Amino acid sequence: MISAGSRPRGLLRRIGLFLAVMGPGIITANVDNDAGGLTTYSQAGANFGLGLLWIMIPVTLLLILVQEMVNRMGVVTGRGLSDMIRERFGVRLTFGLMFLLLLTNFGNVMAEFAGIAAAGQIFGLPPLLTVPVCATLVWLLVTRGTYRSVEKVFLVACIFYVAYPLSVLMIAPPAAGVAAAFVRPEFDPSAGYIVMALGIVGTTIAPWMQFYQQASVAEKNISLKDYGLSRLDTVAGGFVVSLVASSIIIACAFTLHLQGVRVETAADAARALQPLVGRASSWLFAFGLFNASLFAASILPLSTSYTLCEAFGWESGINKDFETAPHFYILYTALIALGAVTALIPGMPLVKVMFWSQVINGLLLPVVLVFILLLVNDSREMGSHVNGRFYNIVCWAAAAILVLISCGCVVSWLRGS
Amino acid sequence: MKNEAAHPSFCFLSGMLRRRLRTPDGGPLGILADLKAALSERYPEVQSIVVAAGRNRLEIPATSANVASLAGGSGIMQDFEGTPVTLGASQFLVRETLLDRQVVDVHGAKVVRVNDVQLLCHGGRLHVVHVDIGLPGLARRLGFEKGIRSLASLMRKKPKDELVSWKYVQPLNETGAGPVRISLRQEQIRMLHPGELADIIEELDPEERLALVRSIDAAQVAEAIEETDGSVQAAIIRDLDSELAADILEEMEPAAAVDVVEMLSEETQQSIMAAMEEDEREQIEILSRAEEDTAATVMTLDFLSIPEDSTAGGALALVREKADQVEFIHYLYCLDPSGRLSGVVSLRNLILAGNGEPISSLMHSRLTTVHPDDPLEDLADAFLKFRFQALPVVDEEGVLEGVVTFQHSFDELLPFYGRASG
Repeated sequence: MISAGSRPRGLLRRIGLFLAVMGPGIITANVDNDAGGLTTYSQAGANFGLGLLWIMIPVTLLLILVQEMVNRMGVVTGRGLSDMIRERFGVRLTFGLMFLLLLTNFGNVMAEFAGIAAAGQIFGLPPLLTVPVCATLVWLLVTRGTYRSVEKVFLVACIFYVAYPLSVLMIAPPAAGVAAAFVRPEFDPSAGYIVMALGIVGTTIAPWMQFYQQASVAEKNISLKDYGLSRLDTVAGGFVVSLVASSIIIACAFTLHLQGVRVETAADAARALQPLVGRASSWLFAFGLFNASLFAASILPLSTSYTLCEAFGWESGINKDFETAPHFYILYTALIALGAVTALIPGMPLVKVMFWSQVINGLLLPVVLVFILLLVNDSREMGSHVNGRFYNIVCWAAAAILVLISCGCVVSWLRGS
Repeated sequence: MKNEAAHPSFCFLSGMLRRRLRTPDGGPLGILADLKAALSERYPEVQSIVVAAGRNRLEIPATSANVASLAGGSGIMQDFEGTPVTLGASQFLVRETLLDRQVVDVHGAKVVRVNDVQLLCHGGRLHVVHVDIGLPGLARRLGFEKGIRSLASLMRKKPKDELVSWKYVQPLNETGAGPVRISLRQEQIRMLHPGELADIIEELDPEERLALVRSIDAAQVAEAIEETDGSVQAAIIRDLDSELAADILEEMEPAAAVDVVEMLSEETQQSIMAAMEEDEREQIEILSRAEEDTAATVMTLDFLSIPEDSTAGGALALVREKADQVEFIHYLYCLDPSGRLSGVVSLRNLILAGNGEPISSLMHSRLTTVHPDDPLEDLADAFLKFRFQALPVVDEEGVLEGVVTFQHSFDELLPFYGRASG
């Protein structure tokens, strides 16, 4: 028999197993803090101070619940989310959803290139140089198969986010005040507040994340026995997102908001790091924004193309050539090229693009959530791994609240215009 | 209507689904929910029409009059006596089993998604003939096929219809009424190259993988599995019952089998090993105890050995007897009574020798051997230096433990060959 006792591999193997299972959750979480995320959280802090901080608690909870559900579906069924949607709901609903997802994700890709352009500007580089170079770089990295090794570089560079919690420590805000802001919801019925709340929801729980995480979990062939580890991965990812997001809001609240600065450009948002690094803040911020944007720009177009190909049964994969997988390559290339070109339109309000793409994420989220809830409770697919009753109550309630916020948002727009 | 039935005509499942069905005097029957077909023929024949009226599902027979109505675009059913839907062993529901599902296109050796199903109406009978996997099929389901076709004609192109003949379709649905299995398609699967089969296996989700793996024989699965990614190998073996998993592992190269086994949990390992044949189990145990990156990890126990006191004729008889089980037959290893390696004789020498010639006079006894713990690098050096097809692996006492063949160790040793020549 091969047994752990006969060879000193037991512990190593367990650690190896852990590392093998870890990944989808943490990576998804770090890509989540992309250009749109940095901008939205910064604006939330700058415009409303600590007024929106409370929302981070329910949003984090929902993020973990939602990602745990797709993670579970990936492990149990070994299939992607769009695959399951197509088989369960047929071609019409799938087509509609995929169309919306494509538009929404395109908005996000645009935001990533806007982020690259904005970061370049701080370094004094014109967007006409940075955006085409980065678009080409991303395209080559992924199609030439070198992406997997570069991914680690991106992940390591995500250590940049530590700058925000550190900046908060340097500011040393009144702990009691911050704690109170976390637990005491302070609701402001103005249109700006509701839109910002939706933006935070949309950037933290972006619809592409569910498709991406389920696909990566399914691809990893994680066995049900290791599901505990996989769940830990997801929960840890959720906390990382939330810690960084809250720190950004707090740091901006005690710098930009107090100084009455509105975030119009990326350089404005950088001031939140001044307490930590002083004048170098804009450089540090630009570096972080650049890394986040490039990381997400590598993953988003790829994930979107995979998702659509899976739904419509087209061949996909970077290990196939153009002849075998034309839809995949056309989609992938078009997303990058169009995203980059849009970010280059003269006079493009980069920060606005980054923010509004996240609001649209928020509008699509309840739709995706309903699909997920119907699928995860289907015992033919999930067997005994369907949601518990409490789990369902919380999620359906969240979906209902999200629909209400979305409606409120649309109504306030219509009134405003 | 009689005429329509006489001429063969094609129609699509999407055009029939949700059609309102009525009795000849206009009474509502319900909507067409599915078609039930039998697998007994080359192209499955539709046997009955599944009608949904509210929550009730009934089937009415696909008589020639009913088929003619359906093919002619009408919903009037001449024979409308309904019975509850039952599904026999070789019957399947066309919509439920195929539409929007993934199937294997054996001809193109890929996994595709079914957008529509094309049926042939001929002589009052309806047969499943093609599955539509193309863009026009998708557009038809969404109700804008005409739009796509006129757009294409504006661009002076014909939209590419992608219809896969039923001959080449392997349905994989294992849920519902049990696996759909047809001998014809299995023959098709059998003709696939292991690499192609591996590609298909990688694309499937676990349930479908199991359905496919269970339907083909262990030797072919083993060949295909060796070509797939490590995590896929482990996932397949993990989900199979131990007996079948053991059968497949026995068919694999021992070194490859060890890699798979080591990826499994201890429990799974033990139950699979228990189900294995004595010989194969022993091989895997020996290989799995090997230190990493040593000769022992790449050696095989699949070789021919003979006592040094036998004759060329005896040796040739052994070759004939074992040649279909043992892959490497170029050298025979000669052992002294205590199992120590005393020499090597090549197949060529055996053939050239007379039947009665003693092995001891034919064999080479100045041997290049390696030790189980020798690093791979030394092995590569030895192959490069001596150009042997295989090297025997012996322990301190000179007992033969296994053989490393050039061919099977090639992948593992490749990095070292590169280094040596550069």
